[in-house]
Amino acid sequence: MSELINSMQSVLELAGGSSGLTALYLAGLIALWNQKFRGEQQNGYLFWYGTITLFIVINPLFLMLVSVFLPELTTDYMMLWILPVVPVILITGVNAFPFQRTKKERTIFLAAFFAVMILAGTMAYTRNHNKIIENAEYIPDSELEMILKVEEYRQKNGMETVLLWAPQDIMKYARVYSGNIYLLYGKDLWMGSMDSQMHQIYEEWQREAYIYMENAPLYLQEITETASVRGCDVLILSREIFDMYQTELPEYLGDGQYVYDGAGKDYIIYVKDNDVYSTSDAAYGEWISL
Amino acid sequence: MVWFLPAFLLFISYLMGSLIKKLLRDSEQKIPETVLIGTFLMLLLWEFLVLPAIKLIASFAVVSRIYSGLLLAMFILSFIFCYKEMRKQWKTASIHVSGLTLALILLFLMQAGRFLMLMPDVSDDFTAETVNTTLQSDLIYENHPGMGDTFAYGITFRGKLVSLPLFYAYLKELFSGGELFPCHAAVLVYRIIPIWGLLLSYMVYGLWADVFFGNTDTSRDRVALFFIGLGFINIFGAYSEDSILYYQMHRGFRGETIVFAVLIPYTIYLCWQVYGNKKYASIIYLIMTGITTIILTDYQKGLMPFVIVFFICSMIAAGYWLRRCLHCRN
Repeated sequence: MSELINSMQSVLELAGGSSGLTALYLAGLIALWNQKFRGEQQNGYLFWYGTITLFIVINPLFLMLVSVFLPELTTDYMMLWILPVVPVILITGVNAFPFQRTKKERTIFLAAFFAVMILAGTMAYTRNHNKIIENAEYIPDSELEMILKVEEYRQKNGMETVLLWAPQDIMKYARVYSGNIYLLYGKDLWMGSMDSQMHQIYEEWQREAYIYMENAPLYLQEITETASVRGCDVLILSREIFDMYQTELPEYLGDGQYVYDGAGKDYIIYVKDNDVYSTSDAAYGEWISL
Repeated sequence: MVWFLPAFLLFISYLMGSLIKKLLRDSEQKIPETVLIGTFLMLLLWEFLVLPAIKLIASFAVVSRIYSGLLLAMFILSFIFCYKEMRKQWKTASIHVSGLTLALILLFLMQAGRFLMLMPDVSDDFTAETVNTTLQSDLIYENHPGMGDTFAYGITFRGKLVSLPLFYAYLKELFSGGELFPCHAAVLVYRIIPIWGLLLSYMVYGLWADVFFGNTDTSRDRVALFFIGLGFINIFGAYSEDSILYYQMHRGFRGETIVFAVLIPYTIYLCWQVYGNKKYASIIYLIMTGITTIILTDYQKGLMPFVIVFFICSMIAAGYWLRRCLHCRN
């Protein structure tokens, strides 16, 4: 019994928000109940909708049925979103406003009402969820710098597409920037399947490639071989990981299949050696000065 | 160019909605409802073009051109047939500017500002990648959005029914102003589309406000207060990553967000229109809303909540009807 009550309580907390919206929602339902008996039919409709939905969604049987037959609906507890939390709170709040007769009462009421709402959302103030964008492309600057270099390389060489292999921080943004940058594997390889209807079966070599790249200083030989076999045009290595392993960044990879082509704040870019643009004197001079 | 997109979408939706209302002989003069119905029609038309194209592995550019032609035809038809109604609708509509209205505008700008300045939550999302992939390959759901290469297995038919990311790709193609005004997929998806979604959400709650507060001179302040509250709760209300308020502000481009912030509240409103106001033309809108859920997201996340909400509303209506019957018998 206590387990049942606990599960209902936790769902109710998630349904309305544990920091105040639940209380406001329940108070709103009671207020609607009161208004219902004043003969306002729409209030009765909303009251019954809010109440029945509440009893349905916090019902463990409903949760069980949803998790068995509609598993997608359990993503982020979406089945709870049918609760009319926002309209119930706002409609009762606004309906209560005319009951405040003097200007002072109205000001205090409004201040209290909005203060409760401001305090209700705990996630709205966390730094992780309020990261300011670094540029209009919604890609962090250091990653964008490298992606732009890849695009520049593609355009200067007159290539329609370019195959890139890089650390995951670049891979996850590359295709947000351009559809012309092809990747050895997608972010669903390391993040898991993102869409139950989208099926990509990654092969073993792709999984290995991911491990090689994320631990690049240990697998430079394998990285070069895989990149050559798979026809990668551009390779990017992270400075951070080489610093972590206290290893020097190579001037070229393998027997010179991939040569240094430029550097950014956090990354070094290598391109296929058979390219005119990549082996420019300017790039070599830049490497020497690194 | 891309900054005009929300206005363009609302305008074209309004024209299409006017046409539908004319066909259904629905004379109610509500601009937000006309826009919403037009939006659903716009998405439904897109879906009807995309599905055969997927089957035929047709070029995306061809689908886009046909769709543009259809939109243009709708545009001309609505001007020809609905001009009088639209004029009447705009004549009766009035904008009352007060301190509360200004606060409401300020709060809306604050919400739009969040889309402009803050990083969205794209951790498990492929929307912008799908837009880029579709435009680059000129194929529909044939290539993996995360790699660019063809799928090892692919997307199921159920997954292919969701054509919203392709609609974004169409919009990107339409609003790419060349070198002078480039339209970046991220800008369109993470910045412009959430503003459009937010406007639609405000329109639905505008209809709710009409029902609960009326549309009179005395109720204007209450309606404005309701919208101010909506802005507050959108900005400050996110209590968990699992809440619609979080989705509204951080993942406004996702189909689920549009379903739960626009379509589900609109379904409740439509059920009220059918059961409470006996406005039976709304049944057609209800059907359109139901089908639109499939276009926006997986049917388990879109259509099933719609069915659950419709079922609950029908139960309430049946309860009222039963009570009336018992009263009559007594």
